[in-house]
Amino acid sequence: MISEKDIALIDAFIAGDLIGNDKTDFESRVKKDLEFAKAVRQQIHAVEHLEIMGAVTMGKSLRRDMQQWKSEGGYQPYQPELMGKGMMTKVIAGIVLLAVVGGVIWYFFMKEEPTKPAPVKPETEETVAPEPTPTTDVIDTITTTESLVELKTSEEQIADMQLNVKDPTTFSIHEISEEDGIYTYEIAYDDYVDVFQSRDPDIDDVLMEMAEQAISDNQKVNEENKARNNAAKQQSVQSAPTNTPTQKKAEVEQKAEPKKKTTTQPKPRRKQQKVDDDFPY
Amino acid sequence: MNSENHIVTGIKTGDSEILKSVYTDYFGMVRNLVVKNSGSETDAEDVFQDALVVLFKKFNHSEFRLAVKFKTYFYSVCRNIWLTELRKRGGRNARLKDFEHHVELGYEFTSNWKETQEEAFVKVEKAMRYLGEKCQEILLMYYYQKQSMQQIAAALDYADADSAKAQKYKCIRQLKRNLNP
Repeated sequence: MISEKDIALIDAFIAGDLIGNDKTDFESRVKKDLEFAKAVRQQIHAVEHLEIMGAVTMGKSLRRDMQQWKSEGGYQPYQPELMGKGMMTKVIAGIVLLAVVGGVIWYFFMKEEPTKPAPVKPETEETVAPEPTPTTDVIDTITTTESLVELKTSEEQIADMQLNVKDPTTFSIHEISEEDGIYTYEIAYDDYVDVFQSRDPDIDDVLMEMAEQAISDNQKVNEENKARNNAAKQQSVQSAPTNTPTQKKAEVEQKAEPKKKTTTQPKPRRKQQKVDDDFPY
Repeated sequence: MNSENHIVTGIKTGDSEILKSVYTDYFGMVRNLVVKNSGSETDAEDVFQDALVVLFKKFNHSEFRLAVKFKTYFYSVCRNIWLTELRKRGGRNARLKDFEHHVELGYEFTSNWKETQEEAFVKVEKAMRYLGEKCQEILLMYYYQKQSMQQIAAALDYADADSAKAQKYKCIRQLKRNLNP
């Protein structure tokens, strides 16, 4: 018969409270006393079941309490200690987006810088026309303060042509296209063909008028030269033996003079608004 | 660490005030973990409940020492329970999105005990039915809640600890008979 004392002893063993000789004595008794060994097994079994029972009972009780705590005010809002991977991805994407937007803003800001009003040169200042280069620079003939720099570019372009067109009869210009108020023209003179752009829709007419004027001027000059030559010939026939060296020199200079008039020396540059007054060929 | 020990002691003894404060402070964390990892509000309540049961058993083990913050430990237990549940639901390679630091824990920190020992629970529940209500209480208070005979005597209105001890002797003998007919 298992006594109350034996039950207490088995409880102490299960709880791990037996040490030293007490534990050794207990273990040797289990080996020798079959009834005691059976009682130990049964008690361990009962305690294991009681622990399961206790856990389930506690769980049910907790669930009831949780419902009550929830109705009494619930729980505090939660702030994560770590960022989730999704959050991290969003943060990285946000940084990349900001960088892209910043880059775009910076790009356009920097691109706008050169279009700020530049110092205006006095109108009387002579500028040296640059070498003619095939260019697609915008030639802006609008005479506003903001577009003064571009206006100068337009004048230079015309000056290039003034300097380089040898035969104005070969001059031609026609509009190729128009986009956003910018007109693209193809221009040809002598053996040179180029394309340029302008915001002036009438620049082709202006240049053609200048070319025609130049042709007309050249014809007049040629006719005058012919008339002078004829007069000189008649004079020389009449006074050929009496020609002094000084007269000969004057004749030579007179003969040479028409040639000078037919060269492609440009006239002084003009304001853009008066560009059609006289084309200097 | 003082308040941490206070929590451990409270869970160990089933102190309702401490349990309530654990709910107030940490249920949001458990809910976030479960809901953000394919679970529901009810799943979160199950995990919280099971975690406290697991902690109760662990804290009552004489060799237990809390080596990390309670929050970290509790999160780790809940994490283990929910990961086991997710894998049981079909996601063998299920992984969790974490929101707190955690420590690696063993298999004992899962809620599997509930199902692997379901048969045992049915058996003991049946055996306990044949005991009186007072017997059930005295056995659970002593063997599960690890209360002393003095505490049990005071709680259940016994004259003294010896009277409670004598009653407990009768109850455990009866339970053993019921479990092993």
